Amino acid sequence: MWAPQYPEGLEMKIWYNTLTGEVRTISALNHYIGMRTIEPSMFPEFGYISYIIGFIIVFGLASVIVNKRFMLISFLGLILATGFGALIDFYLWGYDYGHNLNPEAPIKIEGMSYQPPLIGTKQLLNFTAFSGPDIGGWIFIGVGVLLFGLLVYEWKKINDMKYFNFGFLLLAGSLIISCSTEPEQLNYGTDVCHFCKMTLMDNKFGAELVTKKGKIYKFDDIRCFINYYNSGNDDPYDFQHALVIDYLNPGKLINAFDAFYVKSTEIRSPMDGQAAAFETKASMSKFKKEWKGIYLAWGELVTQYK
Amino acid sequence: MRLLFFFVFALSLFPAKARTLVVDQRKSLKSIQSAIVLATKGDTIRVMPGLYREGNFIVKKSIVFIGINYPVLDGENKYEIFTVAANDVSIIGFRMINTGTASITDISAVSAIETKRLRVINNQLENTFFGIHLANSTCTLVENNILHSNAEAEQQIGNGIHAWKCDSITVRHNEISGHRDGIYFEFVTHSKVEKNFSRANMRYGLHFMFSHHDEYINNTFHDNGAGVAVMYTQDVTMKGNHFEDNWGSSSYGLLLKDIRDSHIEDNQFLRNTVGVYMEGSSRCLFEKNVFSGNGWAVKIQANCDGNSFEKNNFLTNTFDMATNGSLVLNTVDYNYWDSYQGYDLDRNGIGDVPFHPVSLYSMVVEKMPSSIMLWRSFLVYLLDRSEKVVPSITPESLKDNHPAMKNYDYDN
Repeated sequence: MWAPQYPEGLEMKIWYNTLTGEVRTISALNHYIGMRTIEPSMFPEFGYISYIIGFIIVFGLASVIVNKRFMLISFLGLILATGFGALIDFYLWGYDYGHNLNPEAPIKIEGMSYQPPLIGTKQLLNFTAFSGPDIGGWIFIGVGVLLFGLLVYEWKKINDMKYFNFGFLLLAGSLIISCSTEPEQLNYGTDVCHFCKMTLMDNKFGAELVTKKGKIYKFDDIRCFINYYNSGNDDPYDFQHALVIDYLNPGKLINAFDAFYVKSTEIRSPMDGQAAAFETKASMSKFKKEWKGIYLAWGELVTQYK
Repeated sequence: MRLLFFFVFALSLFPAKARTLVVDQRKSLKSIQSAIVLATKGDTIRVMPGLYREGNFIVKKSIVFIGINYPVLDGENKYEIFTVAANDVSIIGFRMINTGTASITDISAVSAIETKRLRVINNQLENTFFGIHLANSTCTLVENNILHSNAEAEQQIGNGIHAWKCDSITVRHNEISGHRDGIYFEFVTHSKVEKNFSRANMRYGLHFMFSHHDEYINNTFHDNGAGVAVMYTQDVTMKGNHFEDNWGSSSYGLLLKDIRDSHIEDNQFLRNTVGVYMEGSSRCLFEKNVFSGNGWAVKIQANCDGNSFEKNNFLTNTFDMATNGSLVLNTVDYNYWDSYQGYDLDRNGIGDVPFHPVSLYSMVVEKMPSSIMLWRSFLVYLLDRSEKVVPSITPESLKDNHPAMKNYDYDN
């Protein structure tokens, strides 16, 4: 619970057999609006919840040993039933606790009840109350999800191996992408150059740096790219990828270290970098002649634009 | 006497009399191409109404082209229309449509290469890749043209009026829409951009780079992709312009990067995500501007120095100023701030307590953009108030010591 007078919040944790946290403070507050004092003795559940949890653990271990699908299904059923049961039980208690108020309370507001939220956030007068699962609850939910996943896996395995593989790849792929250090395409017209703040427009030019942590910097011109590379904001060894657009394949990113560069005043790039990158030596030579430019390799390019 | 002699001598170089050729599809001279062949230096070619599909006109002589009632020159999605490579050429009163597009060359309706005194007046350009493209040209006048293009894929469209390595050009009274950048200047000096209306272009309404000693006056930039950008330039005067309705995460009314010694006066910044964004800029004077209804009126990065803001009106902005560091080398004085809550006991029209335009929360948002969600909540309000009383995070030195009590009326 949070309130202006308790900016750091008040917390109550419900364990399998007791309550901890600022229970006394919360109870004292609740007393003003006629709610009863919260005590472990209010919850007969504390007496038998430990047995239920114990049973679930034993059943889980048993299903590992038996190693049959029906055990898996019944275990999932048990988890779901317990979960729902617990939620309903909590809801019923919350309803009773929030509605059954002492008529002699110092603060009375007509038509107001103070039922705590089941899961999520709720505004109770000037208090914001939040209720959600803690470590134990998350383990419980995790087990449920895992079991469900296993069942889907089993079912897919029987039905269609190929489909399953595809799905698995998708899942694995999405997990990898979420923390990937892979480069991404430059979106001309929407992406903004990290160095000069200009919107990328000319797809013959552009560059990208990807750090080992997966941070991506995009540039509209070799000038901005080299200036940032040399700026010292990031250690050059922290770059996982350094990529540059191939002049002849607009939009295509190639390895900046291996590219062939031509520098010439004939080249009109967005930030007057006067340089273009090529994937092959042959096309570099052709344009070098056409523009009367000079050839630069990466090591020489980084010394430019100072 | 010597001057007179010079004039006589100069006149004798021209043919005795400049002729006028009339191109009319119902008369003997039907094509503009053949008229160009027939014409000599100083001639005028009058083109009667009609649809002309004659490919690319390469003009290597000083000719005045005058269109009567907007004859249509069609590039058939293949050709550049006028390629001018001579001095003293005028192109007046044409409707030019459908130039070709290309990724390597810049195909345009009017392209000028190393010309002097080119005049492009009263034309209508529709669906062109680049509109008017000037390279290495001096003393050019581009006036009263309407340029419109339909950009769908953005990199497939060029700039409206594009000038590269030019000097002393005037761009006046044009209306530009649907291009990449409305007006684009790169290495253009001593030039003037006046009374243009640039709207709904894909990127910038106006884009200045490496272009020194220029001025742009009384233009309107409305609803462009990313506003107006002035970069790597010194000595620019921006007066009486309207920067309006540039909304978006990387969109600015006016983006200033590496600008020095410039003067920004009497402009209106209305309803932009960021009115003015400044980075690496020095010694710019902002005076008598109106910032109204912007998300951030001014975002000034800590690497700017020696800039000053005087006598501006700040009205109904979410944040008046934001910065990203505590060291501030810019001055803010004598502005009107609608969020100022001080008092004026001596009734001299100047508030008695300084105003801190950078709110605590704008610093928080600068570090953590998503925290904007909590804006206008009670707690944030309290934080801002307490910060006003005892500044600790916001730059102490960035303050207006003489905040005006009433907003300025610049009309009088």
